[in-house]
Amino acid sequence: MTVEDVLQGYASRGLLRNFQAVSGDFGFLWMNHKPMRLQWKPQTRTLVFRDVAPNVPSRSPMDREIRAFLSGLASADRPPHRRVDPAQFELFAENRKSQVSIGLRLKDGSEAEAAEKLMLVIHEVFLMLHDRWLEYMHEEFGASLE
Amino acid sequence: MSNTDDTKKQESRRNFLKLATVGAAAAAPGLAEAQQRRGRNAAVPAAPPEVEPVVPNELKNFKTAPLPPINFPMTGANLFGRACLAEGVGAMFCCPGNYGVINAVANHGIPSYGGRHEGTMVSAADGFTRASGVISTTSGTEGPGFTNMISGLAAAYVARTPLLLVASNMRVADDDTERGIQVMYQQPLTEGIKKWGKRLITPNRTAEYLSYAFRQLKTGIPGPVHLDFTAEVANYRIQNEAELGYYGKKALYRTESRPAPSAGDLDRAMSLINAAQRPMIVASTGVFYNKAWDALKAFAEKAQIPVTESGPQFGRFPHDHPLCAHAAGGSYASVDLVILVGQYCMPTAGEFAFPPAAKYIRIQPEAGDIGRNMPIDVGIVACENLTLQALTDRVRGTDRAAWINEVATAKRAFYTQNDEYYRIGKGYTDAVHPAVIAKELGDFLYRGKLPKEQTTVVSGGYGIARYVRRCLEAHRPGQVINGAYQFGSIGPDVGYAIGAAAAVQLGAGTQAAHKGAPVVNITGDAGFGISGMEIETQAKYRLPVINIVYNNNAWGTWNTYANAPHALHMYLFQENVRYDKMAEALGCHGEYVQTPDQFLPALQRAYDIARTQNIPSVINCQAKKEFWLREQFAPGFLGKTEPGITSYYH
Ligand SMILES: Cc1ncc(C[n+]2csc(CCOP(=O)(O)OP(=O)(O)O)c2C)c(N)n1
Ligand SMILES: [Mg+2]
Repeated sequence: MTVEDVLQGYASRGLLRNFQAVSGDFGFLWMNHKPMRLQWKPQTRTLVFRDVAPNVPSRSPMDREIRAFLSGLASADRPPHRRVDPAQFELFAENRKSQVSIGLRLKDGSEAEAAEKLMLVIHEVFLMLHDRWLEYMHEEFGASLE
Repeated sequence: MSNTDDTKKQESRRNFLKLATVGAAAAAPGLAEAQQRRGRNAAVPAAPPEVEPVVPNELKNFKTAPLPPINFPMTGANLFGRACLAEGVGAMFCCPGNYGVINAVANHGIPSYGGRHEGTMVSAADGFTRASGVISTTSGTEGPGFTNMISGLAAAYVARTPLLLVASNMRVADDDTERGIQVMYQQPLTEGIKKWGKRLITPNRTAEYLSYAFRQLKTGIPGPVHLDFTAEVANYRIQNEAELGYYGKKALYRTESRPAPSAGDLDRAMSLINAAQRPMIVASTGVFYNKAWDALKAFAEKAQIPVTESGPQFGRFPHDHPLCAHAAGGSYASVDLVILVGQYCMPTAGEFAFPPAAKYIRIQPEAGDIGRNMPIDVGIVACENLTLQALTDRVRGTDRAAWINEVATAKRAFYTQNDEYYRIGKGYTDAVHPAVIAKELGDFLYRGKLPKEQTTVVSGGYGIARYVRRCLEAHRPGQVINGAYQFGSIGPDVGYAIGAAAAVQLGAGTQAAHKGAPVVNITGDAGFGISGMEIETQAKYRLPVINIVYNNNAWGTWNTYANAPHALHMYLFQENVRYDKMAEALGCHGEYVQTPDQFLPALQRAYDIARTQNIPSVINCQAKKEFWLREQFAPGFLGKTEPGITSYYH
């Protein structure tokens, strides 16, 4: 299974809307009304949710918290279905001009596993943001403040 | 009563004045009672300015008066009262107006409560039904009484509460004339916030339309019904039983039959359940209204599936059950199969914490809603109770120890987090931090001297709710009322508490075993500003409610605009507003709590007064608005996870 197969599966279940795939560059609507962009680079075996958290100044408390949250996902005390195993995947966050992208570099795991994992990671990142950064979610994603 | 130096000074001045004017005080009505509840010596005479509210004999004794005979020929209003009695309407909450109808309901012996604002009376009816599962009615006068009811109705609509809202209306003959006052069309105003509604205009079809109303209230996915009684209908005289036709007998105009699940649907659900490694049940509104809690427990235990809750009240599954995942929000992202049972108010993708790969089974009695907002894998159109029973018959016992262990670990992490919030909150000693209220209230209700299943709690407020919710437990159906729920109103909490306390006072429905017990209501200072006057209604009917007011001198959304001086003032109140003194002036007990160590003793005093004298209290907890700023006062304003213990959107 390819990354596209995995995403296509979500699209045909109706979870992803407006699904578009153009040579490893995928666009869709999922949570939060904002189009999301996922890139798969087979050369570097890297899968990235591009600019998934906009307007987060680098080295800000929120930036640091996102990074700490991601490192926590590799922790050995997490159950396997919730863990990003560092032996298989390297989980990373990049902040370019205050746009945070979150991705996985494959070491050992498969392309399909990586796509499933990253979808779950992004889901969990947004759970964390809803829980910890309510005003941010309100301002950037129109979530209710109340 | 207060612990502050200032108040002590004021009290001693008051005592001095009392002693200075002996004789006249002895006649002050209610004084002895008020002194007794404040622990003062009733024999000490006092001054006339200290006159306190009293419950007059008309209020004390009405229940012993015989009900008036109501025979044919009877008015349309009396026919309504008769139908409410036959259909088991548990209580009415109203303000004067719609006179024929409210008197008819009361004269039929249906417990009736008159309050101060029609809007809070709708909330009271909503609170009554949410706490008891028994349908209720609420009434207001035409025009402004009715328009006051709209927010309460909208909140009841999203909560899917089966309540019957009635309002009077002017004569059909005067339509469009502006003759007199209050001529208006009501039904268009409740469009989109009622399950069904009807302007009653044909006098000799009144019984028929009442049958429509009760069919709507008693079948399918519940929701509020709005009837407006034009003067011609309310005053019409029905000559005899024969004139009603079959609409006089409920067994002829509606059925108790419930849709059962089909074998094919059950098979499809079973194959998903058997294949799942980490399934979870979300027990929601339909489980409560279909009294499916026993079937739920049997199914969960046999299938070894953890259960969380969502919806406008909690307690469908006991929170101390080993399979309870209500406080295990950290485990939700592990779930591979979600079984939504009676989830009428439906989230969209990403709103529930279940992961994108999870599959969904949805069980509820109407097909029209299945598939809304979220894709389904199996939809079962059937009564929740019958479906859970059928699934229990089919499911095989499965070992899910690893999964249950993961849920338990998440629960422990949640409670450890609560302890940590409490430790931090206790450290702020110049005001009462919400974590202190939350933790100490929880310990008082569930780990102290009270039976843990006894106290019904209205979990309202805004910022305070996000702390208190975390420490509330429900050990039986209807024990926790989940505030305004999806409509997100600020203000209805005191009204919900009236209804919940009335249900407990009467021992209605799920409150039967706890008849007469005190009830706790948590609210914010903004919310209390909207409906606080209704504590007079609580006092009037001796509803023993302990109202905990989180007083942070502000509408809790102030912090977003902290740096906008021309805007900020709109979000703030005067500081140190004395809601406790307002309570005393309205015939309740008042406590002013300014430091964390004062909270528990104040709660104990208020509880004792509620228990022994049925007198409601206000515990005015003096906080500060800056507690919502995480950078200054960790942990600050809290977020939430849905479904489960912190949920209230869906
Ligand atoms: C009737 C109503 N008015 C306004 C709002 C918008 N709103 C939501 S929360 C909130 C602040 C509520 O303040 P309070 O109840 O005192 O909460 P706290 O200060 O404890 O956070 C406001 C203004 C609302 N939801 N409902
Ligand atoms: Mg406030």
